[in-house]
Amino acid sequence: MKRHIMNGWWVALLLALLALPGARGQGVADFEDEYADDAEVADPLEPLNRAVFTLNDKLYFWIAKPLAQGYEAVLPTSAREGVRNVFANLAMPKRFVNCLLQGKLQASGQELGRFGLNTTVGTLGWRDVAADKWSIPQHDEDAGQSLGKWGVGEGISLTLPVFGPSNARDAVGLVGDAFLDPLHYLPTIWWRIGVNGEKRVNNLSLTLGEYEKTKAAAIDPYLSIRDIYEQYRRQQIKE
Amino acid sequence: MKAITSTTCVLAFLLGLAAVAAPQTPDVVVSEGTDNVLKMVRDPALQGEAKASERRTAMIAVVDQFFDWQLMAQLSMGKYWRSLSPEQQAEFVPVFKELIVSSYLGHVESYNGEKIVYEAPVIEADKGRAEVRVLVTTASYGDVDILYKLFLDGESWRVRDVSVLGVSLVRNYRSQLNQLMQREDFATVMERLRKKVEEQQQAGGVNLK
Repeated sequence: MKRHIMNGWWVALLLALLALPGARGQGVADFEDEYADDAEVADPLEPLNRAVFTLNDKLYFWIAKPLAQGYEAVLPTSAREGVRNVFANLAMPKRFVNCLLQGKLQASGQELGRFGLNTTVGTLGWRDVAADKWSIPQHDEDAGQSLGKWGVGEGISLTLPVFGPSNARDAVGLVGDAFLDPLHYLPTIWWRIGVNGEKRVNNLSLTLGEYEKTKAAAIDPYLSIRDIYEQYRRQQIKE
Repeated sequence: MKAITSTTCVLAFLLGLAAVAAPQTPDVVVSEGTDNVLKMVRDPALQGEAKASERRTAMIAVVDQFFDWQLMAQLSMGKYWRSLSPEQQAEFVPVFKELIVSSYLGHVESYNGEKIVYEAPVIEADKGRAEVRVLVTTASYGDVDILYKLFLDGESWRVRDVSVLGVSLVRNYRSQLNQLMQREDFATVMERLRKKVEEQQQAGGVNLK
């Protein structure tokens, strides 16, 4: 009886336990390898980028955050989500074109389908019925990712005023995407600033506190956010 | 009769041993750990500002069971780990842990009943590695994809890295420390870490909104 149990899986376990100290030492070296191949971010403009980072930080705490907090106090979450959805729906051309540019035919078709459903059934995009009812996901493709897919490297790291962390490739992408943004074709610059401002304040009101948390967890907020941006973009391009 | 009893005893002992030693699968480690932490967030006995530090201590005790801080700290220090003396290493680990734990718990405490799905683990048994993907459905960010990387530490699976939307926590600290250790000495970097931890504690550690 005893022998029967001894034959079981836990003999293997015992052996594994005996082999433990060696196994673990090996493990750490293996894990090291996983991180060792990380490409370092090229940041020759770091002093300038840090200055812009500080500027953006002040803009956030002195202007954007108080605005978003006031906005949050006035409008219920459901309304702010509705506004966010409307703007997201209007940004369909950028996603559609960049899906095509990356050869993601099915995704580009889904973007068109989402636009049709959300504009009609979802009342001008107020509700994301395509995702909620038909489980058609949004595909957040942009020109920076398209360039990345084609093999264009990040280039140097950049921190843009108001827009925040970016890099040479993605900054070029932003310019390209601007032409696909319906808001770009509003009649005057003041309309453009006003509507884009509303979009940003609205969306910020739904994510208040995230920037603070990220900063609080960082040893050096500039370095941390620069890295988060690059990791996130690399992941998006891979997908 | 006596023989039967002793056999039963041995059997019971062996079964007991097996039960203790049986490793929980990685997804269970993550889901149970998360559930246990979340239970404390909602525990009526641990609510309010007055109980904040008590709640925090209880949550850290749970997180300690499935996070390997030592390994995370070591991997975050990267190539500079070897250049540190054992005393410096021992100085670094708890402060580093304090910094991550506060931000981790901050995120956990903002949990508000969102749907959490634990996907089946991907286990590489021969390498003693596993990954568990967790999808959290949020109103503000859509589906947030969290990837726990675990390793088999003796008989139990423990977390060595967490990625949120493809951004790895260890990678993030590693890139910061890599830059900072290049430019500054260890004491200055420790000074920065301590200052951050202090700031977090002054801000209540959590709920910075």
